[in-house]
Amino acid sequence: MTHIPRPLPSRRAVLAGAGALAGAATLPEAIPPAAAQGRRRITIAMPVGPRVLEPVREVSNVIFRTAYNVFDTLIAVDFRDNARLKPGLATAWRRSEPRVLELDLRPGVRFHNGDLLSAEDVAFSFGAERVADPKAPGHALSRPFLGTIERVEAIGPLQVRVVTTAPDPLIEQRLAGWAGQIVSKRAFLAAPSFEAWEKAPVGTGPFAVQDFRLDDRLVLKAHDAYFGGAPLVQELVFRVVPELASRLNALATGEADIITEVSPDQFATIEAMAGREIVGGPIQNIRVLAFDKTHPVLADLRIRQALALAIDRKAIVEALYGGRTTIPPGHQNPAYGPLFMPDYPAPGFDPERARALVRAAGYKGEPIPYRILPNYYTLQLQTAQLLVEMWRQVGLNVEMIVRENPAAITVPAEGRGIRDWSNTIFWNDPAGVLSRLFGPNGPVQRVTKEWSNEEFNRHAGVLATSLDPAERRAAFRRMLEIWDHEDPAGTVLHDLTMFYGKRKDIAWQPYPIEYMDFRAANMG
Amino acid sequence: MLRFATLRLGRAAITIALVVTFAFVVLRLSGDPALIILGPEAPPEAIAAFRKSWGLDASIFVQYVDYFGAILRGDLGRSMRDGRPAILLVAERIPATLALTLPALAIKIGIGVPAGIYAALHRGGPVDRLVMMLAVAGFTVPSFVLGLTLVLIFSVQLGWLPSGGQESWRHAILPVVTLGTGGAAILARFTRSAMLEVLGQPYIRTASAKGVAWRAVVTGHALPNAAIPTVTMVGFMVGSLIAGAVVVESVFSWPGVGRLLVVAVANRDLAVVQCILLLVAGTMVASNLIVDFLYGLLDPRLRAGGRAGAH
Repeated sequence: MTHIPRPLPSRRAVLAGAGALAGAATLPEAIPPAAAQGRRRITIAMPVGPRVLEPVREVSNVIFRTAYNVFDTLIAVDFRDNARLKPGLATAWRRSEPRVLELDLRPGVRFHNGDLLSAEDVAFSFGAERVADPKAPGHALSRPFLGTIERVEAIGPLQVRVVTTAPDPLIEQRLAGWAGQIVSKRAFLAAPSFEAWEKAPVGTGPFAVQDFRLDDRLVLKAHDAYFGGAPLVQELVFRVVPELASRLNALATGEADIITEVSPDQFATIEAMAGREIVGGPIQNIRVLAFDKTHPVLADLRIRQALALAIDRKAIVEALYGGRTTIPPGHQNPAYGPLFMPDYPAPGFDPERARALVRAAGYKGEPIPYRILPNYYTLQLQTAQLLVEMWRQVGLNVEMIVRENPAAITVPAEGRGIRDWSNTIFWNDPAGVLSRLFGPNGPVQRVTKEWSNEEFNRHAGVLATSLDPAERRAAFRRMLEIWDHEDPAGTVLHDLTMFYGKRKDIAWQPYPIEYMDFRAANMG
Repeated sequence: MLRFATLRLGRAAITIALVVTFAFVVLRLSGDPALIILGPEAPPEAIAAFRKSWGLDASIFVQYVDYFGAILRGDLGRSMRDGRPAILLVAERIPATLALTLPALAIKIGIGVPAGIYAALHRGGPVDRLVMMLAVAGFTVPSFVLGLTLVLIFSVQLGWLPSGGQESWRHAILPVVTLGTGGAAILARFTRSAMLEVLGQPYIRTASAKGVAWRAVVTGHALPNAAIPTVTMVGFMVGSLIAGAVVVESVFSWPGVGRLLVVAVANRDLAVVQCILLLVAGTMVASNLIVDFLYGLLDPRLRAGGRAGAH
């Protein structure tokens, strides 16, 4: 292997974390193409690792991207086809009654420990020991996802019945979504402790847990008996590399095949590397600002309306993201299918109207606190700086307050006005995000207590229980109107992004969600 | 000597107690671990259950009394993120950190002290100027800049060494050099200054005037007297062995105690933070204690403690 010395980069490039650029433009191919060498291992470098791998014990983008390869759900989601539901561990399902869904399980599916999947495993996965009992270790965190499930029963060796507490239009989505993963009953009961189980759970997914070291690495090995086809990769290594500069270097040297959380200001760095590329884009996660209407200034809805109207979202997307993300029409996503309303009039950029609202509210320049984290979201600080300036232009005195962790921007309530947030779309339905977060049982009304609206809650109830699509659509539209215009609880900025740097010769493709799928079907 | 040792040990115990108390108060008041670990979207039931299971629902005073009592019983608590005893998590990381900090300490002493002595003995010469120039550069360049620069040269450009991780001894080379360089520069400057001060003392001139060989003057008179500031600095470096590589561990993705501390603080994983601080404080205090005793050996006047006129 011959290495050709190249000129060193500028100091600024080093400090900016663009160090990999200098040598990478003409970097010799340190590793032969995957196809030629029959790649046995893919290394993914990411800034943070999951705490555990048991889905009912953690809800974070890092467990999404890793554990998705360890488990399957009864119903699967085709992220390449606008999140259409498709058979997973169940081959067919039907509603026998409004509250009852019956599913036929796929025969011959094997867990990582070699056991065959049975209806007993499915019932156990939703049962008392794991989630259903209030004392179960996964109970509390699984409630927002599985809360409407009354019981799951085995009605045959390969047939189960799911009974909900009330008619649940989302039950199929819930079974296809987070916390719907199926685990091996025998392996769960055989684990020495729950703490041991949650670090090495046993599912049916294409990869089994081989080695998990907190905050360091997770190694998954191929589960060759996977029902969806043996994985094309023998080993997946998720390495924790906290610094973006170090991730870029690892990509440049070939020590990492894929790196995550690449910010747009580093695109040029990666594009200049031979054999590397940027993939990814908007994901099913809406970047929003949340308004605390208990704050004395924000109690006046005209101020909240002005805050939303003062934002030039297009300018933010162009200036910071190079146009590589999208601005949804309000708190929506196309994955909502029939409930998606592309013509819904979300608040646009209208500084004149914003100024008029500020004047009408009799605003005297009282400071409005805006709490952010320095680097939790992509380009968060830069976005916040632009926003503060846009608000200043319409006469609003917003003070940016940088805090260290997410809890510090939501609590305590003192000094809270506006805060940064992102809303993950867990089910392809507004009930999975707008209702889940801002509805009567969501954290905004129950934990932070920043906002509530009686009419909004009534419509959220309809959305949660009605099986009539037209009624649900009408309810959702009213919820959007209230959330955006009549009593703003926040405002949408744009779709959140997830960009990856990767070797071009790896055929893996990202989904419009945080999951990283290394199943053979997604590996070209 | 007994009084000297008792005083120092008593002071060390008070220092550790203060560090533990300070860490407890700061961490307990600066964020709710339940919200940080479970996330702000967690349902209130989950947050309440978490607080109850970790005793966070009790008053801060009760928590402090429980915590201090547990420490006296040798129980440092369990990690809220991992569930295992905090001491176990920290103990797992210590070898990784020492794998960087011990060789780095050897570099610091092995290069810094001789370079400082040589520069002092050749004051004003080209070697002195070169050593001091390198020392200033090594002292002032932040470790993350030096680390990234080394990665650029030796990993990205030359492809000789890995850029991060902990898979083999080769992975340790760049972080060790990064850590060692700054420390060697500091030691070189300290040693040079101390030596210059001693070399200007009347007893050095007297020894030379008496016809003692210059080598004997340096080794017999100058070096022992110049050792005190250097020993102080080395003692500080020894005290930093456990948690002195936070930045370097992050730059090189090295899973040591420093990185564990950063993650634990960010997550308010109180038991782990407190365990590390206790360990760091203990190491630092022990190191200072050893340095104090070494002072006593190096300088007989200090052995005499507070006795007036004892020299």
